[in-house]
Amino acid sequence: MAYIPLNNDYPGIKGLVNFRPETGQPLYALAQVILRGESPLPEADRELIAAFVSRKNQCVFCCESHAAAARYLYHSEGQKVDVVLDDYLHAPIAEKLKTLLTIAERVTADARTVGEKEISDARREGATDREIHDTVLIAASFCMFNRYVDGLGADTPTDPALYAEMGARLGEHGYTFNRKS
Amino acid sequence: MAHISLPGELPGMQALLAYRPAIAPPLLQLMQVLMREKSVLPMADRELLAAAVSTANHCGSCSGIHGAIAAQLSGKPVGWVHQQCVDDTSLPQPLQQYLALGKAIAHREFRVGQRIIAAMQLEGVDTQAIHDVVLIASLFTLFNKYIDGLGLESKETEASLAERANHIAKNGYHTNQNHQDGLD
Repeated sequence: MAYIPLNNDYPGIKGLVNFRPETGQPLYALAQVILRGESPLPEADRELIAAFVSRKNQCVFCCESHAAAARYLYHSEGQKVDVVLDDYLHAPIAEKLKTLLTIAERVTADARTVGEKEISDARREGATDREIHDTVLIAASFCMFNRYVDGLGADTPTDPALYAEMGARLGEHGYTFNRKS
Repeated sequence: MAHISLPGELPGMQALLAYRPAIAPPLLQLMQVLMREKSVLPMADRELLAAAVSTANHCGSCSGIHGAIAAQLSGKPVGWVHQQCVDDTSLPQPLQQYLALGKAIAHREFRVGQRIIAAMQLEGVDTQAIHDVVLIASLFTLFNKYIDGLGLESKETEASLAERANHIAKNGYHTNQNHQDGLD
């Protein structure tokens, strides 16, 4: 149970945004821009970065829901999501994405430690300014979402089927805020 | 030097909102609701909380501007505000608790945060105020990491901070005008 009375039974961030729709609406709008808006990074990779950062922050709700969205968006290659979450450096993904995940990891741990080396490694693999920017923005944003969810003790379901369903919905429809959904 | 090439010489979040304008409406709306709209938390205290969280996250750009805004709204010297960011023991309750909760959230010390929330509830602190302290601390962690992760450095002076702080203290984080006037 959440640390404050939310007056609804929705799990995770949904319970929080329904408690305070005035902030819930722009929070969902932000998620839609960074995860579905125009970007050189594929939507599946962006969901993977979100799940990866949430795993580093030990936020189970955000990690499970965005991992499910990434699996859905990667279609037949969905199983690589779990390899990345456990050991991204040895996962079957492009070297460029690994360098971006390293940047995301640094942002999560201490953003001041993103240095010349991390940036030049990413550039060597072909990462553009915009890809580096979007990685940092997604990582920083999930450092917010993770703290919001766990800082208020939002309800975290344990049923994997529920997250799979959530992932499919996020993969199909993205992030639209409405009080009942 | 910033890790990516940014337009112009804008400070902090202004440079990033100019680079990625699509994030300006939701971020400015969050700021306006959390930092300016009606709340049991005085505006000056909310800006002090933002500065204290940014100090805990070692983000000089954000603690600089929000400390300057807190100073203008409270009528206290900027130096006093920054002193409270590192040592809040002389502040009254519940403000001290708000800052402690904000710092616990920034540091991901959720057990500590849970205990502070329980204590606040026993003292009858408004539920929305508790929610907003947690979200403000989370939102400033986003700003702090976004700015530091891209290697932005503050080139501001005390005078330029005071001028911008004065503008924001007067106008807030309006969402219906040019975004470059709003958020830092």
